[in-house]
Amino acid sequence: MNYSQNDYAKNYRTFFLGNILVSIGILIVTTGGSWDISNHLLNRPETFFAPPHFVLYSGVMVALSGATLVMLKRSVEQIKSENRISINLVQIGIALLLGAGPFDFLWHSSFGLDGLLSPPHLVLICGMTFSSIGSFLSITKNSTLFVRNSYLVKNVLTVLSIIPVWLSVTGLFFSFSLPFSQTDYFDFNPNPVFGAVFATVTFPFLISMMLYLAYLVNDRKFGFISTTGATLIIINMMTSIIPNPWLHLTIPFYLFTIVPIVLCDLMLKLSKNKMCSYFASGIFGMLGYFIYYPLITHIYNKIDTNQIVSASMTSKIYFEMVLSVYPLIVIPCIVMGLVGGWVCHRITRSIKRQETSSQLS
Amino acid sequence: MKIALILTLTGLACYFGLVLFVIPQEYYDVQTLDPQPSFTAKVSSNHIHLGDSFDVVIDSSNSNDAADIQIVSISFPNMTQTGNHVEIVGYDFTQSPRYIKTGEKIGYDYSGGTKSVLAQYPSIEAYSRPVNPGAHHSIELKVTPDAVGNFTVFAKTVAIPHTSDHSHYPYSGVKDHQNEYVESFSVVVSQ
Repeated sequence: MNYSQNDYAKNYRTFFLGNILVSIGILIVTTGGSWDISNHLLNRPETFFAPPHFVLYSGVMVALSGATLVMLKRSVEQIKSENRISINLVQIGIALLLGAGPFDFLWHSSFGLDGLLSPPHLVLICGMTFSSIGSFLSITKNSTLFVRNSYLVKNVLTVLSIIPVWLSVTGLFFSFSLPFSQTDYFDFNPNPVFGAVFATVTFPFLISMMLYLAYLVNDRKFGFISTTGATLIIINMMTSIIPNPWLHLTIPFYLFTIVPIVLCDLMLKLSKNKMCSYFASGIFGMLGYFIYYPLITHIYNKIDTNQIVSASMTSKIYFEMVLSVYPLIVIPCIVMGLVGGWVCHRITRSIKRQETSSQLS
Repeated sequence: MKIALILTLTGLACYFGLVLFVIPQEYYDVQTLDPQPSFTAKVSSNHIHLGDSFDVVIDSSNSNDAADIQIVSISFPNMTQTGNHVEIVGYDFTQSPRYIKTGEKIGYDYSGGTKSVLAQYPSIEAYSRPVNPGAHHSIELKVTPDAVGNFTVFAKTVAIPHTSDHSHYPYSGVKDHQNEYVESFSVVVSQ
């Protein structure tokens, strides 16, 4: 099929918009998912028809509409060849998301209250992860075609494309570390030691990778690390802290976590020195215990104080553990932060290389 | 530039100093909730014939502070399984009841599950979350004993967080298989 220059621009715009919708949809799904975890902890809903489930599945609908636009434009040869991996990821991810809905409903109907890690939830989280990574790749690759100098738009796109990936992978990591998966029928709870080690290794890696990604895909400019980090912290505050009235007192402490992120962003602006990059990665890794408050309390409590982490006791137990847990995890956290930064360098280099070659072609 | 870098590093050092050594102390000193649960129990009859039923009504309440969770447990030390012999006929707790079978792993010594023991007899747990001071929840059971003799029913309530000796009721007397205090009721079952 022959396309004019105008048609190409139109097709790319639709494709780009489709990916943005997928990202927005996954952002809604992950926010609903995080709220759902808090709702299960506080109120133990015993029905599928809970408000967080409504938010979650309306996100699936938004992502589906975006995926439809992506699918419509995948027949355009140039779009297909340049975005093969990302299109496939979106396709697989959306198929898993669509399958997860009825599967989850059937599971609730057969086994009542389900845990965090259950077959339908795992399908849902994998769907979220695949589609968010797919749309992130497409948005990053094609954003230069549509956004040139607008700092604000770049910031919005960075947040929209990275936060869904960050939240989806967080959900996946929490599934294998939080002790929320024991029900009357199944016990999918991780071994407490495994859960703690897994969280210590994976969360610092993820934080460092995501914040560094925001920095590198925007040509190492100031502000993107801060915006991305602050957005994640605000979403986590709204979905994990605000629903529990006993945690409201700790909101200033949680918001304070934005400070080291902004300081690292500032440091990277002041010096492009390699040492500073390593230092910032290590600091990002060190923030795992603070960024994942309050849920991380349940993971380390199992191997430290082993108390009942009820709604009103969460913050007390969290702060009680700081000085016993943090010294033990700080070194692995720094190491994993460094690894996250290094992996991120490799990934962005490969994205940029593909971007340059497609621009040349 | 160097000064700005030094200031940034100082800021980071201050952040970690505050979140590790200053802020935890401030939050740790916040008072823990001290819920004080209790209940009143009514048994419809203390003497029945085999094959007849009697009713047990437990009306639970909470005072002082709110409880994150309040559990009312009714157990049957003369039975090995509840089967069709125990039926819930009234229930207004916020969560569905849990049926504990003999041999199932249950919490021990008011630990809320962090210490556990195997159940020696069946029980039913009714629970609500959260429970504000002044709130009432009740459960009504219809019990049909399966043998003649003294039929015993144990009842107790436990609040979480379990912070003092007043976080459970009763405070003294007979202890059950969970090493927790219970109120004991007996019904004579004759041929």
